[in-house]
Amino acid sequence: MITARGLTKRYGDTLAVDHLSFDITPGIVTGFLGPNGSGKSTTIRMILGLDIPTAGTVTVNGRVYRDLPAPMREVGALLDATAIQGGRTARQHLRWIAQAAGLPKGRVDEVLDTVGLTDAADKQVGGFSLGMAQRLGIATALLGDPGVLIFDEPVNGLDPEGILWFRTLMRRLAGEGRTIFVSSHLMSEMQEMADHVLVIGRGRLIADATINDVTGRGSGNAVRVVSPRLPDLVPFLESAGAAIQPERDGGVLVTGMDAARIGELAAMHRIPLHELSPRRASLETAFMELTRDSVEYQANGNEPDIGNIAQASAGQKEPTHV
Amino acid sequence: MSSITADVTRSEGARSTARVPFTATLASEWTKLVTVRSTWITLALAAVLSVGATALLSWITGWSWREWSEADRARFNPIELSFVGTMVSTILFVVLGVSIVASEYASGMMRLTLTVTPRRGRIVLAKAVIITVVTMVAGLIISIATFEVSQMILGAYDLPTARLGDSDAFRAVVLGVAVTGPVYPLIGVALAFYFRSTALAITTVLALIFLPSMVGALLPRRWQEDVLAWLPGQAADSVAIGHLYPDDPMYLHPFVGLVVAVAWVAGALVAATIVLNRRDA
Repeated sequence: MITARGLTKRYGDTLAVDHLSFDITPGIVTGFLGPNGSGKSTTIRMILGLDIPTAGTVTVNGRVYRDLPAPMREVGALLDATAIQGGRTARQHLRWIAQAAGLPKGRVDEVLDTVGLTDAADKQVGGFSLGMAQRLGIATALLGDPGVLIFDEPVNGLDPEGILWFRTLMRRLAGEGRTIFVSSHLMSEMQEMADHVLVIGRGRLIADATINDVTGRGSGNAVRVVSPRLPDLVPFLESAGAAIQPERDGGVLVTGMDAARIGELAAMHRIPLHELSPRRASLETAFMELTRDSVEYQANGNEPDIGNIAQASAGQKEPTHV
Repeated sequence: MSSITADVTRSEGARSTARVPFTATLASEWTKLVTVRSTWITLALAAVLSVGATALLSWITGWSWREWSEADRARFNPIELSFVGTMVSTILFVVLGVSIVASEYASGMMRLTLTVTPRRGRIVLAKAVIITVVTMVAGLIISIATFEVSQMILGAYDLPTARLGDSDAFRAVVLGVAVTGPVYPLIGVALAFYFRSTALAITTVLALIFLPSMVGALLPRRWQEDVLAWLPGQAADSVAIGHLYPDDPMYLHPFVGLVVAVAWVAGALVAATIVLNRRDA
């Protein structure tokens, strides 16, 4: 359980995190979404006691992180997986962490096995690929077998197989009743992985809801309809308040009306339907709508589109306050 | 949702959370130190350079002895020769002390260290203890080696020599190095936490080592006695070699020197802890 109340962080004139309040509950995967520079990493650093909040509090299992008697047994975290010294082997790296956390030696080999790094255990981590470094970082988080796990951009650098593996691991860990908090700027990834999402933009909480609520709330929800007698059906739908958008293959996208109502109308007028399929807005679309006003690095004040955000991700790094 | 599984398999916070002891932090810092090659390179370099520098100076002394004046010969103290080696190894120990802190900032690993051990005073103390032990043990071995090598070479030229068993030599070569060797490396540890930069921390310690004697020579004698004598290095020297220069007012009483040196080190480490506690990592 992670609890934030009025959590605020100010760096000079920049309000990086602005009165965040949330509860991250056990047993589910909670996604932490936001464009780059929206305050995700700052929030995570405050949870871990690395940065000191300007105002407000954040606790893990009811305690401020710095007051936890054995932090690694309660919280496992992956921050920047590549921020490690390259001269040690994976086993040596995990050994100093296990020692500092007061954990038994045997845990090192166990977590190496869990993340599939057993064969690379005695290789220097400086030679690791980004994907291997991520796996080592995940191993670090799992070392203390903690009830709370925090991952900052965990799938960066993982190959598709690695992403699938990570997703399965998250599900399993959540199924064991752990609290899982995963940040990402990749919305599609969240859709596959998270049960619940916190969306932030410019440090402010924009949404705190289940994945279904977020995707259902967007205006993009539509139903695809294909019928040999579409010209007959469309006027009935329009007069019932639906909006019609023709599609290239001859079908239409109906918005403002659910599939059941469309089906009933068609049946009432004895119009055959060849296709009637609800299209849920992707989290991507919902996210764009939610954060439209709070994208930090917008190009020329134009409406942000996927291109803008991708550009922002590539060109701008989140401010790091060392 | 999955609240049922949650209740069955796990109850958060009810797990073993005995407080992690300080010895765990100490063991971890020790592992960090011995698992990087640069530690061994620095120590080997300290040994080779300090023994080499002392041997070279001893050889030059023996070789040029015939040209020494009577006054110079009367002032000659065979113990002093091994101080050259101590100075060289001290600089490398400072590098070691600075790098065990600054290298973690350079790689970004300090955040991991502080996540695993959020009590920051512990990290400062653990690194300080490790550096104290290493510089004391390695410093003693190197100090005795440089002393024996220099006396051997002097002996070969039939010059006056000292023996480690002599009280003057023992205090300078063994006691002095053991007590004062860690002073500059520990200040290096503290400054590295403060600056988070290898270059800045090493430069500052080197300035602290060399500037007083360079600038000091230009200052009135009174200032030297009132100010320079109380700096950490000079205070430490009062313990180690003050007895070789009984008439020099630049050296404090050995016990006063010890207290002053310890106060400098403790002050620097406490200041580092305060800064570390207040600052975002």
